[in-house]
Amino acid sequence: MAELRALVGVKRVIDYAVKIRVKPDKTGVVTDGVKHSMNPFCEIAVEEAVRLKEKKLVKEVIAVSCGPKQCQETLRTALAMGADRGIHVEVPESEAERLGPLQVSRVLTALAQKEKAGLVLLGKQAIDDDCNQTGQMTAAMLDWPQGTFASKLTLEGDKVTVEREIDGGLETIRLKLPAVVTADLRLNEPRYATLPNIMDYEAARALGGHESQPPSSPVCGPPAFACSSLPLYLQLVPIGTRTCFLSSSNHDFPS
Amino acid sequence: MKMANPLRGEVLTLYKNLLYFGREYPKGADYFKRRLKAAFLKNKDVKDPEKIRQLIARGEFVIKELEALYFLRKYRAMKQRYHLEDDKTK
Repeated sequence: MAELRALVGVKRVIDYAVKIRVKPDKTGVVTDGVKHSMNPFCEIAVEEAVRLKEKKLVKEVIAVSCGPKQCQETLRTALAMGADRGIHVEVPESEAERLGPLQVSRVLTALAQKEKAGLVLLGKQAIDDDCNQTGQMTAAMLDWPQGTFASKLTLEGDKVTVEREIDGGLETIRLKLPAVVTADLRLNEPRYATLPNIMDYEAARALGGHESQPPSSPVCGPPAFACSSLPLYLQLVPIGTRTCFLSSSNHDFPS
Repeated sequence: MKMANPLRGEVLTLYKNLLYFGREYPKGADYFKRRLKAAFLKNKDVKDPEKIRQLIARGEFVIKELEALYFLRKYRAMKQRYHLEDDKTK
């Protein structure tokens, strides 16, 4: 469907090749100064969304990331891979450690409804927490069908056929859109985001990517963000070669 | 005054791209940077545009090789960590 919008969640995690070290006080792992990058399964999800857009089956690919300011790097990578817009739901660093699948799926639910997405694409799990919950929870909250551990995705009209990798082999299911799909390893081979693309978005930021006013009400209500600070909704929009648009959005989240 | 070679821009872009790719090099970003700089300096006096184009093509080939290397590393690491049952059934 040429009208389909794909919402892709991307998570900033410690790079897969880094040797993890436990903090001396044993409260967690060392994250300061450690190389971070996009979760490999999220890369696969972004790649799938961009491929669908190239096949003209998806109109717009919107990347979302929740977390502290550094998540914008991850979003820039998603934009360089071909996403049209990046939405950063900013969570202060002090709260970021408590951000888990439950909170993220609430954010994704609100955004999917707000952006009128017909397809939510996520990685099957993050390599840092291995929760494997966000996709499933998001589908439940949206009351949408889900195709998890997808190793093949085919969009046909208002249905999507998903081939899933399960214990014991493969399962093929057909879902009616809108739906949530989580990407497994064999879905595709993600492209490498090339430097020129990323630099365009750097220029966009340097020119002053606007930060919107914080919404008047928290995204998910007190339980998810049990602090007085509200998530900032910052949109990153790439500079095209012909036009340059910086979006400044004053979005009101549903209370 | 000599005119700067028109291919200068392409060479610089290639160098910048290779630098960017080198950040993830398994033997270390510094190792890669040193080798990259040495390789480019070795050819700094080449003037023939045809030869320069050939060298640029070689550089772009290296970029493709690096892409493949990085992808395979990541794929193999993820497969090893998350798809144990594949090895068991073999």
